[in-house]
Amino acid sequence: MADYDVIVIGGGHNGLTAAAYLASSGKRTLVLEARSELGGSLANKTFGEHSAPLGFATVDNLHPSVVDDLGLAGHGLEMNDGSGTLVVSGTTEPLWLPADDPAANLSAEDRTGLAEIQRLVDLAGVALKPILSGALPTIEPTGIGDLFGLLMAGWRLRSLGRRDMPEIMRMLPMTLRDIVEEHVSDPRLQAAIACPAFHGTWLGPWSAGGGFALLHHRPPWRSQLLGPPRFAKGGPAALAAALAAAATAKGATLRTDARVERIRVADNHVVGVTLANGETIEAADILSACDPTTTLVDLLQPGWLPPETHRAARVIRYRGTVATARFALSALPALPVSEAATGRIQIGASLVALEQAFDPAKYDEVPAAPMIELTFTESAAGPIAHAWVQHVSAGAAADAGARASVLEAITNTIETALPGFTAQIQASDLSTAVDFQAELGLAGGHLYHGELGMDQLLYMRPIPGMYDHSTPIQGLYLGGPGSHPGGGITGLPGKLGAARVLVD
Amino acid sequence: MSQRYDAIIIGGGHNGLICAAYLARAGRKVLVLESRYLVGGAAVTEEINPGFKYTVAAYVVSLLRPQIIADLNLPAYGFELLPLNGTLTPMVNGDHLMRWHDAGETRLELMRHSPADAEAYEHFAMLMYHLGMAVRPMLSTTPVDPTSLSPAALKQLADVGRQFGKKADYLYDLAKLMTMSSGDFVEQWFETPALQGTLAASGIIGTFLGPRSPGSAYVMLHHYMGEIDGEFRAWGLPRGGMGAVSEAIASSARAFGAEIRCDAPVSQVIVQSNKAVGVALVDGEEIYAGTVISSVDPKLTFEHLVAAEHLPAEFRKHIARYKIRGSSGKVNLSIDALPEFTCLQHLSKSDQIAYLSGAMSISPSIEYLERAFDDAKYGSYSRRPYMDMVIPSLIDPTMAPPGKHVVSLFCAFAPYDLAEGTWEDHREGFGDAVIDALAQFAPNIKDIILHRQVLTPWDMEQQMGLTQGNIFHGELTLEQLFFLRPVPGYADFTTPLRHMYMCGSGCHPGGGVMGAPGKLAAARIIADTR
Repeated sequence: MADYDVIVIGGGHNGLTAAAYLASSGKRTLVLEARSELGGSLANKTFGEHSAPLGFATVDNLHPSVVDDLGLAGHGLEMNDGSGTLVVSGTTEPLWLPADDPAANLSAEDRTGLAEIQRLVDLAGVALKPILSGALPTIEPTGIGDLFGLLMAGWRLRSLGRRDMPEIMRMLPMTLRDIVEEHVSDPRLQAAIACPAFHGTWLGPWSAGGGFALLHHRPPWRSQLLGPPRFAKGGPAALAAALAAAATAKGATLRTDARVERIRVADNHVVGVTLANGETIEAADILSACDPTTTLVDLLQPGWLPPETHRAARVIRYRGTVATARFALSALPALPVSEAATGRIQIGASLVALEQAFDPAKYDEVPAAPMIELTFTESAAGPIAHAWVQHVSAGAAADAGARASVLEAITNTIETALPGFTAQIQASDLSTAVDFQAELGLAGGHLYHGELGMDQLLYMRPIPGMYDHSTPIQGLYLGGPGSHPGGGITGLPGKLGAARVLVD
Repeated sequence: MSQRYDAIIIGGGHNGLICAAYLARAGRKVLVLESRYLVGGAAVTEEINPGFKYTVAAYVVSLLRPQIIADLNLPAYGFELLPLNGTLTPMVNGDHLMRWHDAGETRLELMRHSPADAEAYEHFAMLMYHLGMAVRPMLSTTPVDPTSLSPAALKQLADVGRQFGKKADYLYDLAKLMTMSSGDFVEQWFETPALQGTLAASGIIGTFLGPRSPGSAYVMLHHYMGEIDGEFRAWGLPRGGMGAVSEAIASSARAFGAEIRCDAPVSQVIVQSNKAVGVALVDGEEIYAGTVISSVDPKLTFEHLVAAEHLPAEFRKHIARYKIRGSSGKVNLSIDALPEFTCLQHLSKSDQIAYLSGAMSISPSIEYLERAFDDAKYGSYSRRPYMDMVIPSLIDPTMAPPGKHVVSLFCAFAPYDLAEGTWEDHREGFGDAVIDALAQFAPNIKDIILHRQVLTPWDMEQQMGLTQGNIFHGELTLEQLFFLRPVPGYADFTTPLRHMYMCGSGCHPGGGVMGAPGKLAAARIIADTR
C-alpha cells in the first residue's frame, strides 16, 4: 500500500486548500513544499529587520465557499475591507472612492455610466457564475448528464435576453478603453475601473480581450467595480497560516524543505515522487499546485506525455509583468485623503497613463511611470508600504543595474504622486518576475501561473482541452491557478482540483 | 415621380455592383448610384500621373469568392488574375526571407534561416488551410443569431454546433485564433523574427490593433482565406489594376440588365411611414424604388443618409459606437527604374525581378510592427510604418510606360484622428516617413520617384466616402463580427427600416475584395421580395 492516498505538490494557498479538502474527505494527504515556509506567493519577505508580503498584499477575491467549507475563521482568519481607493497621479486632482459609496465623488453622468458597466458585469457574472466558480461542463459529452450541463450553460447565457446577451458577448472581447469610454468620461474613473483587470495579463487598455480580464478580476462573488481592497489581518501570510491549520486539523501532513524533483510514473499511472534529496514517497494520486509547465514538462520524465500535450504545455505564455516593492517608512507620507492610509492608492490616473505604463514591457524596457497600487500596514518599527507594480517585464530587470533603475522608477513615481514619500524611506526591497521565478519556482515568474488571456482561460486553461484538472497521466491532477478557473487568491483551482481527485 | 426601379443600390463599389448583378440576374430592375465619375469605390484604377495607372486604394485580390467569379462570368468581361510570386521580407541585417508561391522553394529558403521553422511552416500551413476550410462555410452564410428563438435559427444554431463537432480537432486551434494576438500566435510556431513579423503583419490590416493585441490573429485568418481559382492562400493582381475587377463586375451587371449611373451622389434615403421608398440625389432628383440597398458603410448610411428620426434610439446608439477607426494609408509611386533592395544586390537582374514580382513586406519583426502601432495609438502616424508593397507594372506591363513602373504601398499605421494638426498638414510628412522607411531597405528609392500620391485615411473618407478611412467599413474585431456585425440584431443585411438593406463590407463577413456581403445580401433581398 502506498504511503499516502494523495501527494499535493506545492504549499501555496491552492495546494493547502486542496489538501484541506482532500483530508476532510478522509484522504491520507501529504503536502510537499520546496521552501522552508508555506504560503508561496502569500508568504512574507524579510528585508533588513523588516518583513512584508512578497507577492500579493490583499486577498480581494477569496471565494466564500473556501472560507466556509474549511472553517477558516476558526483557524484564525480575519478579513476586513479597506477604506476605499484613492486614484492619484502627480498631475491630476486625486479621486477618492470610499468603500461605503465608491460613486460618491463622481459626476451624475459618470454615476449612470458606472452603473451600466456594473449592470453588464453583474449580468455576465450571473450567466457565467457556474463556470467561473465551478467545474466546466464537458464539451465532449459522453452521457445525457454531460449534455444537460452544457445545454444549461448555453441556456443561462441565452436567458439574458435578446438585448443583453449580445451586449455581454460584445463586451468580453473588447478593449477596456472602449468599454469604459462608452460609459464614463472622467479619466481617473476610467483608470480605476480598468486597473484591476490588468493583474496577471499581458494587456494594456488598448488591447482587445479586456472585458474578459475585467470579469475575471470582478467575479460574481465580488463584482463591485470600484470595490475596496480586502485585507487579511496579519497580511496574506495569515491566510496561508489559516489554510495550513485547517489542513492539519483535517489530518493532512505538511512538509517544508521538501522539493519534488520528479513525479514517478509507471504504466501511465503515477506511483509517487522523488525528492531533491533522493527520498521517494509513494502515493495513489498526485495533485500538483505548481504551474502547469513545471508540472508537465519539468517534473515528468520526458516521454510520458503525448507529444501534442508536451508541446502545448511548453508554449503556455507566462510573461510575468508584476513587480512588488516594499518600503519601511519612518512615518506615513502626507496623503491627500487621510482615510486612504487604510485603503488602496492607485497611482496612474488615466487610461493613457496605463497604456504608457504597459508599452515598455513589450520591449523589455524599464517603465518610466509604472502603474502602482500602494497599501500600507503598521509594524512595530513603523509603517510599511507595499507597492504592487505593473508592468515590469522580467527582461527589464535582468541585472543589478536594471533592478536599481526599476526601483528608482517605482520610487520616483510614488514620490510624484505623494510628495514627501522618499524622505520617509528607511529601507526598500524589490521583487520582480525574475525573483518570483527564482524564489517561488514559478515559470516566467508569473504569479498567476500563466497569463489570463482569452486563449488561456476556461476550456483552454492550462492548455486546450485539459480543463477538468485531470491530465493524460492517470492519477496526476492539477490544482494550481494555472488550471481553471485561473489565478488570483481565490482558492478555487485547489478546491476544484481536489474535487476532481475525489470524483475519480 | 421619376422612373421606378425594383431596387436602388447606393454606392458602386464592388459589393454594390455584385449585389446589383445578382439582383439583375434574378430579373430585378436595378439602379446603382455612384457618387464618383467611375465605379469601383475603393477598387479603382486611375491615371493620377499621365501614363501611370495607379490601383489607388485596394490593390490585391485574394478573397473574391470563386462562386461569384463563376456566377457573374467575370472572365468574359476581362477579369484576369495574375498571380504574385510570393512575399519578400527584407531583414535588418541585409539578408532577406522569401516565401515563394511554391511550397518546396519556400521550404528551402526557410531552411537557410531555421530548419525548425522550415519544419514548422509545413504544419502551420496545413493548420491554417484546415482552419480556413472550417471557417469558409461561414463566409457564404448569414450568421446565426444565437438570441433568436425562431425554430429556423435554432436549427441553424444546432447545425453550426454539429458542423464544429465534426471538426473537433480544430476547434481549439480556431478558438486560439479567435482570441490570441497574431504576434503571440506566430511566436508559438516560429523563431525567425522576419518570419514572425511578416506572418503577424496580416493580422493588423484594416483594424486598429497591434500585433500584440488579442484579436489580431483572427484578422490574420481572415486574410488567409484568400484563394485564386480554388487555390488556397494565394494573392493576385488583376490585369489592368483593381479598377478592372470593378469594371468586369459592372459589365456583368449591365449585361444582366442593371443600370449604373456615375456622378450621382445620394443625399438622402426617402422614408415614408418607416419604409424606404427611394433616394434623393444631391442635385435634388428623387428616384423611387421598391427596395433601397446601401453598400456604403453603416455609419455613413445611418448617420448621414437616413434621417435620425426614422431610426430607433437603440439602433442609433449601436451605430454611434460602431468602431470604424481608419488605421492605414496608401502611397502610390511612379518610378523611373526598379527599386534596388540591398538584400537582393547579390543576385542577377533577372533573379531580382523574380523576387520583385511578388509582394514586399516591410515587417522585419513583431517589435517593428508593434512600435509602429504605438505611434498610432497616441495619435500620430508611424515613424517607421509597416508596408505591403507591390509593383503592379512588373506583372502587368500595361500599367506604366515601357521601362518605368508603378508602385503600390499599403502603409500602417495612419490613424484617422491625429493628436496634433490635420491630415492636410501631415500628408506629405507621412509620405516621407513611408519613403524613408522603404529607403532603409531599398536606398535608391528616393532617386527614382517621378510622382507620388499619398492617400491618408482622411483622403479616403473625402474621396471614397469611407468613414474615417476604414478600408473594411468597420474594424474586424470580435465584438463586430458574425451575429454582431455591424450591430446586434441586424447581421442579416436588414435594417430597422422596411424595404431597406445593407450590402457593404460593414456586413458579415466583412472587408476585403471578397464580394460575400454583396452576394449574401442579394440572396436575402431576392428571398424577401419574391
